[in-house]
Amino acid sequence: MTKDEFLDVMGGIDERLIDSTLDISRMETVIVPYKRPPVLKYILCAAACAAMIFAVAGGVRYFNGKALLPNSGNSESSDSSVADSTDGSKVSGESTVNSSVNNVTGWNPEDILDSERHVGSSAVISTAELDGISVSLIMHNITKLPGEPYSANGYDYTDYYGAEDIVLYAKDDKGRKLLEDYVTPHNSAGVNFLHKDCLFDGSTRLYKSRQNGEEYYVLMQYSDYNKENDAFIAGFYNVDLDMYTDNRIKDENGILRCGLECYRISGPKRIGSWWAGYPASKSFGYKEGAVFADPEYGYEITIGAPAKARVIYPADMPDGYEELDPDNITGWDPEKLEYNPYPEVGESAVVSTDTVDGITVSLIMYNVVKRPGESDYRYTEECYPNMWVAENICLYIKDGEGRRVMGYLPSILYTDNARILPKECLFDGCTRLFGTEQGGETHYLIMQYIDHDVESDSTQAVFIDCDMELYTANVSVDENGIAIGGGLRPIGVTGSESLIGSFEYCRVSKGFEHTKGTTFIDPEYGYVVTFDFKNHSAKAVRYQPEGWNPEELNYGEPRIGGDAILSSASLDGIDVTLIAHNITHLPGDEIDGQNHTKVCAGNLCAERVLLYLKDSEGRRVLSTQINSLVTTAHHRIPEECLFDGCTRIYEVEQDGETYYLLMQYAEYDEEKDALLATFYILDMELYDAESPKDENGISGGGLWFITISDPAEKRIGGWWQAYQASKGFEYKDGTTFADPEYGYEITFDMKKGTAKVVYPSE
Amino acid sequence: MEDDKIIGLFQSRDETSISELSRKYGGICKRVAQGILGDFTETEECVNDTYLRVWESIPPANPTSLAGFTAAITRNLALMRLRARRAEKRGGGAETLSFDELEDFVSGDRSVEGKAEQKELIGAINEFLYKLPDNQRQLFIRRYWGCNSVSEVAERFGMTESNVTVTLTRVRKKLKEYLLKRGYEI
Repeated sequence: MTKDEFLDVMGGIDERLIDSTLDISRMETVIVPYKRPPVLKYILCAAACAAMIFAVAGGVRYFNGKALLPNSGNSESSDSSVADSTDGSKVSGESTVNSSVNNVTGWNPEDILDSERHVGSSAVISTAELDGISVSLIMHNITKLPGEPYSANGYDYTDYYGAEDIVLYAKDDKGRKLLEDYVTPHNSAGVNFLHKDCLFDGSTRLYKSRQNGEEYYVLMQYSDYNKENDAFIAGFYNVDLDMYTDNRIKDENGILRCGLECYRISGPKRIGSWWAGYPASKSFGYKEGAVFADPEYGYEITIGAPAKARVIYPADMPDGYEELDPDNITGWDPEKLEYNPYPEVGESAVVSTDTVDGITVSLIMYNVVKRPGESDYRYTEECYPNMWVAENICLYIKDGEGRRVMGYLPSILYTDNARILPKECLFDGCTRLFGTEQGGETHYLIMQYIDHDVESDSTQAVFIDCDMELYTANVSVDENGIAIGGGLRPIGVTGSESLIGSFEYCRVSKGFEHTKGTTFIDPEYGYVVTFDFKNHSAKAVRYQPEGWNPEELNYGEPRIGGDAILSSASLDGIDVTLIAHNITHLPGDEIDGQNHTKVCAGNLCAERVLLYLKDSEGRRVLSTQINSLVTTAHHRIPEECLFDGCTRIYEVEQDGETYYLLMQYAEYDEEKDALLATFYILDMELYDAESPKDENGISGGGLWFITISDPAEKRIGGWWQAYQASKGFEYKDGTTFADPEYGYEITFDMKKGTAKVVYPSE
Repeated sequence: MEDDKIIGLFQSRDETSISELSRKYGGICKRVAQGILGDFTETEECVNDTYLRVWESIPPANPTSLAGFTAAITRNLALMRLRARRAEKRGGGAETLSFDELEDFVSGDRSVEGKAEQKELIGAINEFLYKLPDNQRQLFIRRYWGCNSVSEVAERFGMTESNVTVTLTRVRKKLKEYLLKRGYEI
């Protein structure tokens, strides 16, 4: 059996063996399947921590809900009543509430029995009940009352309540508990804001809806008031208590933080929009099936299966409103954000920016949830060490013509309703914009650091082709007229994993810089990357600094300290030269016994003696050592090898294909008075492949040593890559050459890179 | 989506089966292909070929493990690609997957005659693998099915490379004896 056969046989083994070995179930949960991001570790860690928290929380405390006043409604719906804040009345209820020992969230909705709203208090604002399910709007730790002037993020919050948390809390008589904290679009510096006019009797409503024979509960919560249009905005949620299962992670109070899923609502006449809100008057109500009606605003809405709903205006739609894709409603405008490289929790800011040719690219953090070194109850420092966590982290680009684009960063930054960014990726210069030239056109390239690998302490970045011309073509815009994703196309860099990491994220050091054209260099990680904007690709090759450029040497007659062209040959536009750089010893010089010993006698010594090739397309290749007479400090070539014609290039044919054979006389056997030559396959096409290049763009690839087999064992000295060849060595036919002096023929196999010597006289 | 439902979609020639398969097992396919090919573009192509091959295979195939079935197709397609790539390049060299340790395990002569014999041999290896202790089986499959390098296997299992090498040597020796007893000369 051959090795390949064995591997083929292994390919047929039982699928179940593979299944059990490859951790299929774990792999399914990988957010970025291509690589093992450090982020994944945190996600897994977070899951483990949360699971542990759940285990510690132990017994579930039950609250019978009497404190949360339901509004008696019909069997199909229930409106809330709002606890009256003016008389300061408190609502009593039965509770076995204990203070939490392991309180990660810092508060438990069950502990909040108060309805009084003053700074420092926490209150149940309104409650709706239906079929044993109760849903309450809760403000935790009120920090601001209406009437106090305050503005942030471009909004005037004077008429708003401010609270550390504004949440919807649902539970049923089976002890299942859900919580949703996306209630209001307004958040700044860790404070959520809710308009005072949203707190009216019936502002929280619970409906039973029917569709396709199934019943489900729809929660409605008035969440904002648009003063300009005198319009209320409400959020709609699917209440799915069946999500409350044992295997889902709860907080320390046994509360599941999903199951109240917000509907994204499509339809025209969107006022004061954010992705989780839609205009709804106080007269909004259930109609039939899955249809709800708003007689005041004149529309019907079908709230079907999660998580999208459709609005229909039977009457003519007024001017001034446009239809928006609910997925493109951000609810915030980057233009209103200011630069702040270290925003507070709850703040939104431009954290990094760069400008080239009037195009400004900004990294934006929207609604910071956690800063590095700090903890949030959902995103602890233990599970997300040194991480920024924000509701959104994205790029915002604006050009001189006012075109605006927002681009979301790769999913590596995504976790559980938030985005994360290692602290190592946020520094002055972490967002970079380059103007590059390719084919006479300017292309703009955005680079954004997005990940940090702790083990190797390396940062990774994503590269994005920024083409603002694409802005106008087939892009959808958000409510601020910003194109979502239009004109931004990530470019994956290919190259060896040791150089650039794996797949689309590239290891990039802070020393990464633009050299020329579309070529960049990363001296620290040791690669050169060239972008091809036409083919939308990029290739990285190892960067091997030489410290000298054969194109810039001052060639002359061989002299100590000088550079010289020792010989040359040309064929089909390919020029080959044997060059000596920084000559240190000439063949006739005395031996000093220090820098040059007797082995240097009769040799030309230089810092480098190499073959340099250049073709008509400008591709340039520098050989590695040409013989065995090499030390760290010196390359040597015997005087006997330096004669007119010591560098030769031949064109040979094999199986209808043309190949170039390069020959260089490189060694001399004094004892047998024999010259030895080194043979190469010359393939300039390899220049463009994965071959490493130095800082001058010169490749180390393109030359392949040919291995020569000598069945008659007539090999004379030298190194294994050289073979004896007299000056009379000549081309015969095909790929065969003859050496009349040594009496052999040598046939090259250019495909395999081998050659076989035959001595006919034997 | 449950595997049964995805297989059902394939059987009813519903093209959403491809997207569901991609959603569920695209990650593992990419991982397997990448491990062998080490090239992003080729990996993408290989994974796409996998989806097509699964589409062509189900029906009539009705895999017991859709994950294993899909991963196996990916792995075999990736190996084929690698060999094609190796044949195109002079000298092979770095492009060749290194399995030097198999030199002493296999004879080096082509010996598997036809599909029937290969199937029997696979059956015998399956039997052997099922009897192995978990950790040894996983090491062996990672190395010779997944084509992971010894260092990758060592990292994954938290072992030293020499420990992995020694374990694999012992398993190979056992497998060789096991197969010889059953009349298979490898």
